[in-house]
Amino acid sequence: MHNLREELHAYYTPLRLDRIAENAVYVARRDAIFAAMDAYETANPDTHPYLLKARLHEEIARRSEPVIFRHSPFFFELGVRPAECWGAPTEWAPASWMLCRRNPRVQQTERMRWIHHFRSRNDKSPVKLWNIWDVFDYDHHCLAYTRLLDVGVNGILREIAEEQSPDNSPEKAAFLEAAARGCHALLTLAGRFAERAGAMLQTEADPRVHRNLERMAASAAHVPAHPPRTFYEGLAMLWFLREATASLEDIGISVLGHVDRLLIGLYRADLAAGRLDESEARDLLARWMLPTDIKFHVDDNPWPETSTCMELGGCDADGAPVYNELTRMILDVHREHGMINPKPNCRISAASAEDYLRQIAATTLGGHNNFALINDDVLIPAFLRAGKTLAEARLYVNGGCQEPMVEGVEHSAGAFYYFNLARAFDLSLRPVEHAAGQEIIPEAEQHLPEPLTAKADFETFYQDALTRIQALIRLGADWVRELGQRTWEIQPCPLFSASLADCLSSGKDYTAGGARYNPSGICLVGFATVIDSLAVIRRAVFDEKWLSLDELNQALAANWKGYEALRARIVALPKFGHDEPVTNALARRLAADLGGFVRLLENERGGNFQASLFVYYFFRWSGVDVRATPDGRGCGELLSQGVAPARLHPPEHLTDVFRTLTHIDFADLPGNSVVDIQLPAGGVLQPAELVALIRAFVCLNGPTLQLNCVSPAVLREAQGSPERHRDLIVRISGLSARFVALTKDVQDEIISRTMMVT
Amino acid sequence: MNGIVFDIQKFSIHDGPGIRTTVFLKGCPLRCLWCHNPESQERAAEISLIPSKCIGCGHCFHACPQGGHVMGEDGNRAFHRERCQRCGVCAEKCYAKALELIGREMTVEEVIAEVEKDKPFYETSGGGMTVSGGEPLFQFEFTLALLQEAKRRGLHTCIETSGFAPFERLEQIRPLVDLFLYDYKETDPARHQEYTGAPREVIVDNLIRLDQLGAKTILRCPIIPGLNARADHFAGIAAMANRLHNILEVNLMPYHPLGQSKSERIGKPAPMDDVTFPEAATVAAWEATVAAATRVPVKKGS
Repeated sequence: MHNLREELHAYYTPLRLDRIAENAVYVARRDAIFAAMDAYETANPDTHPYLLKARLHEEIARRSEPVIFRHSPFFFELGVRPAECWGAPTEWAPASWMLCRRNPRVQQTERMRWIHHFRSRNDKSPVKLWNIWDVFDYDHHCLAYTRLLDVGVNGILREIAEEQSPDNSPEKAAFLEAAARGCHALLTLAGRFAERAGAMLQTEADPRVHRNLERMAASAAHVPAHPPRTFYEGLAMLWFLREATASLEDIGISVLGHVDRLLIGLYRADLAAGRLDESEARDLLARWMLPTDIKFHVDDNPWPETSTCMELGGCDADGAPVYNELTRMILDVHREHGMINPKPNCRISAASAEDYLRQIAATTLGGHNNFALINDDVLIPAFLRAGKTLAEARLYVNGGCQEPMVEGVEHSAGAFYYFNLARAFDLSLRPVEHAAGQEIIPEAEQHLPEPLTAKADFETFYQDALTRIQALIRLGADWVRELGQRTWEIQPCPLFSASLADCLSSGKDYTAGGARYNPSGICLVGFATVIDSLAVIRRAVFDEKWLSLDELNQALAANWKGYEALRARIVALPKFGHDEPVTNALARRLAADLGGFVRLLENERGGNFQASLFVYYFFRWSGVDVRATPDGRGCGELLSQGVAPARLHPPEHLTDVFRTLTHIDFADLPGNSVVDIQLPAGGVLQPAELVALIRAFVCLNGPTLQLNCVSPAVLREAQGSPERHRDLIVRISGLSARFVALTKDVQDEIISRTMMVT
Repeated sequence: MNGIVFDIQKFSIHDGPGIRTTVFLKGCPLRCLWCHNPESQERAAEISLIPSKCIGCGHCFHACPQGGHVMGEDGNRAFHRERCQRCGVCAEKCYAKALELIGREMTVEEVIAEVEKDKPFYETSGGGMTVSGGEPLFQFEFTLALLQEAKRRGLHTCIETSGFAPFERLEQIRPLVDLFLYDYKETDPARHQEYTGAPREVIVDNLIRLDQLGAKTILRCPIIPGLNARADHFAGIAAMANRLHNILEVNLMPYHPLGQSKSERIGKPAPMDDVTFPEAATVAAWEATVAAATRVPVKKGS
């Protein structure tokens, strides 16, 4: 492993984003592919976008340079992406040629200017309402691994051939041709790895390296064309498919597959045949998992987002629990090597085995803060309600962070539109303010709401507020849909689409709505902040009438300065997470009102939007955009995170938080919702207690749980003496990181989190 | 049936098996020098003040009918406790939570409703309700009714007690209690009287008689450096554990000085203000000493 680490470091360091511009060899390769494609398009101006992409696949397959790491048996590196790129678009990747050339057509539209005008982290924007960085989610994909492992790429090619007919529409014909050429590009790449490994074999003296090369030479000639024959080939195929597809398509394939479900049969067969023993399997898994942490240099990366996940646990298509010797081994190897990636997304349910939860609990309590625990008992019913079949729903995975998608039948576009609910409520209370130097676009800003006025009762007030928030959510969805309708000609992905259910029969790329399901996500930020604000208004303004809306607005405008006593009184009121009837009812209602509303919004692919309550780190990044809010929060302070309580007046007991969650119908939110909980490290909790907590979370219908087990004292010490705490891992949100690599402000935010058990 | 409750602690994991809810009842006949819940000693309600939380809103000045809260000549708020009738009106108006009323009357039904909220956590962990204090046997009728109701609803029950009560009370609750967390504070009778203000004999007699009735017990032993962290007391703990037939564990509870700040908040002097947390190695040595002399498992408690 040491040798492999060194080898990976040596290769990936010059490919880091901050050095790649100086990497002449890399830049020349990218430029050559761009130039070849420019020339091709000039010579063939009427080429269908699908076929243009196919041509790009072929150029990359021909011109990339398969890189073999001598101490790894896996083949995956094509040398056509920067180190920190998991596939999501970057101008440095040759596969981005089409997007680079065509996306400006979208980016330069007036409508996109309006979207940008409403965007957070745009200094010129007075509105700062959302984070929509593009009109399509080019990240958060999962390949149809189950199908691909079952039939191989050759199987997909056979299905393409079956669909081909002289009666096909020009679009379908182009799509099928492009899909087939994409598959062949993939096979060409695998073949080139086999050749290279074979050539290296001739001169290799080290017996262990020799063995790696032998395996590669034999297997790259077999997978991915055919189904894998061994556990090793299964691992090799997953990693190759992910890396090669991302390199050819310029999209983030965030999921490496439901590994313990997909590979357990091969593992057991190898063991039974004496082809493999446990220690070799552990070594293979370690080498399979290692590259991501090195590529993204997690040891010194202050924001090591890798969008690289593996799914574990849960169940299979028949509903049989997935927890086996492979699950145990993967979790153990990940912990043993202090890895952060691939992110382990663990599906849990009431049926989860005790040993499984105990391993997760003990690993977490040991400070391996890497898990998202996703509740099947919530997500599977959510997918059923969203129209999927039971067998489909059972094969869901989560990728990027916790964005759910049903493997093989959809791209759920789970996280490209983060809507700041708290800002929408803020703008509903008080008009937008224009600071010096900020842009004014009246045509866009005319869509901002009229400020709410005093009403006779809370019911009317709530409806007025809801209408305003919904109108703003719709605005973003409308603008995104309008521009997103061109995605199929800007960034079609016929190779990715080829294995996705129904794309071949419909003859359409998934960007054109060819897949069986076509949802898009809207992530709602600041849920508890808004619930708490509404609860305060309900009680203070309407029920008890000790505050007028005008006075509240004055206090907000003054950012509570001069209103400290009022603020203290407001902060002391019951909040979301306290399991109080008023806040519980409001939370249930608002979640249903927003979830139901979003579900009816149509996207560009003929599907609908779906709401989610996870927020990545926007509880902080977007918190700075929101002025003082009626819950007592000051201007620019943190918003609530995911579906967790706000931190201003935290619940007294952890169980209050879990019981609160039971009042929300999360099965109505198929985009998933996440609660982050900070717990003490250092033996305060025992694994059995944490297992009991996780089980209670499941049976109370909690959606996704992320635990961060830390000792604030140790974290503070690590700030002072980072060299002594290099291995400390913390959960930030949907990603984990080495604590000492984080910037001081993120470190401080993590230390300041509410410790839910003392 | 009403009791005076000063806290209901959910997700309690140190007061019996599993995830529990601990109900703290106010009032205790003992006055242990090391008491970490000094606000639990008096049965009557008390006002706690944390000056650092005060935002200077002045609501308490107007709220107190006795003029207990005033602006002092130095420009700082002053609390005249001698005027305080402990009505709690000031705490109701103190939204910054600088002032709090410790102890409120609750019915058995109210307490049980609160306890039952966490039933899912008891079910997944093998937990339940623990009645603590103060000394729960001090509010005996309420404790009895609470335990009866808990049993009627199928909850696992523990009681945390000093054992200082007429034996009949222990006998009466025994069938309603799944596990007794029974304090054993000092072996030497004279020191017991000095440290706790109560005689040792009745407590030890009660413990032995309870054991003879078959009550399952964990012996909880607060260990205070400079007072009872002595070889003869460690030997005494082991000897007592060895005498009991139904004991499950001995828990050594190292002193923690959190009671000191709590005393200040309720306007009382802290009887021990110079003792700090014992070192982990010291605690491990205590554990080893006791464990060497008894067959009963010895663990560190908290």
